[in-house]
Amino acid sequence: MNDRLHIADSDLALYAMGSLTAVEMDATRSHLLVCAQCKEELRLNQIALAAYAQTTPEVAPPDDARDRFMAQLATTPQLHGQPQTQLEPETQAIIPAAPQESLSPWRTFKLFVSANFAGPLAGALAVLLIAVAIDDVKFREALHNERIAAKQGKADSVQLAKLMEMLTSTHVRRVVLHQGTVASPPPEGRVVYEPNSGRLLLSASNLQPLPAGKTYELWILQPGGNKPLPAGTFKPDALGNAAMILVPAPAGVDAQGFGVTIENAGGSDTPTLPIVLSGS
Amino acid sequence: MDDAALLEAVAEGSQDAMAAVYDRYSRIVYCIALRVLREPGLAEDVMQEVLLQVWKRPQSFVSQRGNLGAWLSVVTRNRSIDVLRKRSPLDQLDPLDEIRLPDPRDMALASEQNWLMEKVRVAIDSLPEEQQDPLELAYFHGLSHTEIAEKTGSPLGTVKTRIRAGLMTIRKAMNP
Repeated sequence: MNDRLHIADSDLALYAMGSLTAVEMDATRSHLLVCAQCKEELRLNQIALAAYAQTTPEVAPPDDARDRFMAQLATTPQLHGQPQTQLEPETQAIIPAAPQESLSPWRTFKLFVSANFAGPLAGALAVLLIAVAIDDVKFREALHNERIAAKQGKADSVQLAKLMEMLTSTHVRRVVLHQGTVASPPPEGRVVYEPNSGRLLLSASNLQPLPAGKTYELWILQPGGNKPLPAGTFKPDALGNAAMILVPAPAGVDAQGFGVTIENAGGSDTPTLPIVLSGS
Repeated sequence: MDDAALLEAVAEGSQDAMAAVYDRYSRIVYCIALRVLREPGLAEDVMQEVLLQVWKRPQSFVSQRGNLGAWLSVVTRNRSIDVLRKRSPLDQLDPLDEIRLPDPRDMALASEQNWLMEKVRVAIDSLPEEQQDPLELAYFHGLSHTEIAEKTGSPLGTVKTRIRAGLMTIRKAMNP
């Protein structure tokens, strides 16, 4: 239904009308998340279709329909502050609810560990975090070994604390290793998400500096084109590195992928294009 | 009072303002629902549901958009198709939070200038039937391209091409 880069125009027309198959609709939705050109083509189609709808010859509703409507209105409460009917980011004007103040990754982690993990498991978690941050196969092997050790009660929670402090410190050098020489390494990120608990880890490198008043925001992309879910905001350090460790994220989501956008400080309820990092 | 001011009054809980919204848009909402559903009772139900959305969450519309008519038209068509396909509100064709609204400035042109609508009507009327029909079947009857191909006996690719051509004709009429 599409070439290598874009959705076919005819399919975008059908998508605008909901006339594709469910599979094609999903594929198109996913593509639109990352393609400004197709999104613009879709917008033009939707303008045309809105006009098409409005060419319908007007017919007055039944005379007593207004009375019925007003009677229903009188018993229907307004739903202030529930932004569930937001429109697309570029056209929606809802004022998002004030985001909850987020804890620092380190504080979050400490609270989380103290609340959820006793000594042995904490060691396994620490190694998991390192694996996320550095994405090294050997660390993954270490994770496996550490899990075994943790089960045997050999892990040390003090060691865990030191590891976590190192992982989230702004006074360490973080280097992403590439094959060969990369003059200007691209931004990249890694995410680990556990749906059952909503636990989420992110490590990103080579991020561009943010303008004043802006933040990066991570999104969980849901299947079926459902609204992306916000999963935490973060800012890179001077070297372009950032990490979110066990930030509270929505649980129970069958994550289709993840995306990162730039939002106003404090975060947003809906992503603002462009998506600067994405993966599935 | 323009739409933005009307919606701000609705957001403040004014039933009079909501009555004004009804008076302004109930005809277009009802006629679109009726065109899709072809049953007055169902069309009225959809009309009430769509307009009550504005009442329930006016803050979703209060903005610089000012194209409430276009938005209501799209939402009404989609909700009517859902009813036609007997989908529940929880399994809508195009949930409200996914609807991509046209640019407000573009739709201000489309919705506020009758001459432009007339141009679109003329453009649609000028389409050969083989292009009008697939567009009508897809948009107002809610048929998939496969269903249209079966119904018209045309190859799938031809159906797609004709729908696309019909849409392009409308776009050209709006932006010559």
